[in-house]
Amino acid sequence: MPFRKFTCQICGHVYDEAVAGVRWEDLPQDWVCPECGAAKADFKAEECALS
Amino acid sequence: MRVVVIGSGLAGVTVAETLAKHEHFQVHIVTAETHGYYSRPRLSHGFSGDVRVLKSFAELAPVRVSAGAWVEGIDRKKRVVKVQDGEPLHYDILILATGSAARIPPALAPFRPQFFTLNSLDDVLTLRRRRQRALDQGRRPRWAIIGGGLIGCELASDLDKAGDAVTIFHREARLLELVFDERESQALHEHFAARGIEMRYNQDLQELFPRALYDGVIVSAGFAPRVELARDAGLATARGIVVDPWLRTADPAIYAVGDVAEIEGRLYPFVSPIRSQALWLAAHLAGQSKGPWAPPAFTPIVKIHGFAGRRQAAAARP
Repeated sequence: MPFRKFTCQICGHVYDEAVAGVRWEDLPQDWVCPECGAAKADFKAEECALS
Repeated sequence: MRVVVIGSGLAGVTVAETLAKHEHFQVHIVTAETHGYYSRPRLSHGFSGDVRVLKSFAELAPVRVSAGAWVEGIDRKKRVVKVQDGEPLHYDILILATGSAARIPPALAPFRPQFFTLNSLDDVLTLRRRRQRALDQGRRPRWAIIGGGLIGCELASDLDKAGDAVTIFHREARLLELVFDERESQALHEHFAARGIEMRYNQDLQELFPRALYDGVIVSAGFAPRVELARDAGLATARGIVVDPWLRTADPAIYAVGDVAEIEGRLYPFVSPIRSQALWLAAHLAGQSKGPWAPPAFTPIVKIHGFAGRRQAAAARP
């Protein structure tokens, strides 16, 4: 499976599996956004950019 | 209960969305922004990558949003927000989440049309057009960045990554002196130097040097909380809007949150404490707070490509 990116819908922080070396599924459920403290549920898999 | 929120950044949108989950709050955002909700800290990386609109205003429903709207004033007696070319909005609770503008050093203010700032998605789009013009002419874009603080350094890093030539003019003797210690500033200097970014220190610019050398001059000299509405309404302002630890102004119906809120002499212009304030305020207004807002421990992230820089930073003092 290719590496994916997930974007925090609160602050825009991008979690990049390739950089982090940890699959999204393997992050613990209580993992929070390192930038704003949002929960995993506040992230969305990356799609096309809007601007 | 009618809640009017002025501003649609992290603070305004978070407090509005959270409050709107409670049925008895009708929440209405008034904002000059037109693009939707996006992350301002990400703007500095809008050149090598994209800036995403994270949510359209329509997606904020049931929160109502008046976008592209300018607030003319606040009538505290009638509890009304006056909107230019729009119906006045009645509120039971008013939340000021007006954020901050780019701070312009007084000496440079007279040159205002001749330089750029980076404070909104529109600013990014303007700078991108300027980049494209140089590229279309077959040139490598050249930028002068005035100010080697957080935004200036992040922007320099991103424009460099995008392929541009960058010179930083910094007033102080080292980069990011408010966030980094001397050793870290030196490491960043060496990182930038290795990338070909030019840095000039101790540059307290009194005028705009020959602009012809650059495709654009970008001033990144800090932030200026937008306190005008509060001040004009007779509320106390200092560097920000003065609020108590309950985020309340002297008017019990008016709160301030985010970049613009000054709590016991301090501003908290970082993502994590702002989100914390907004969530706390929503809980408080819904009767669910256990005590006043207390700043969380937070670690601002300095986003420099290829440079690991995370620092604890104290709140900004006015």
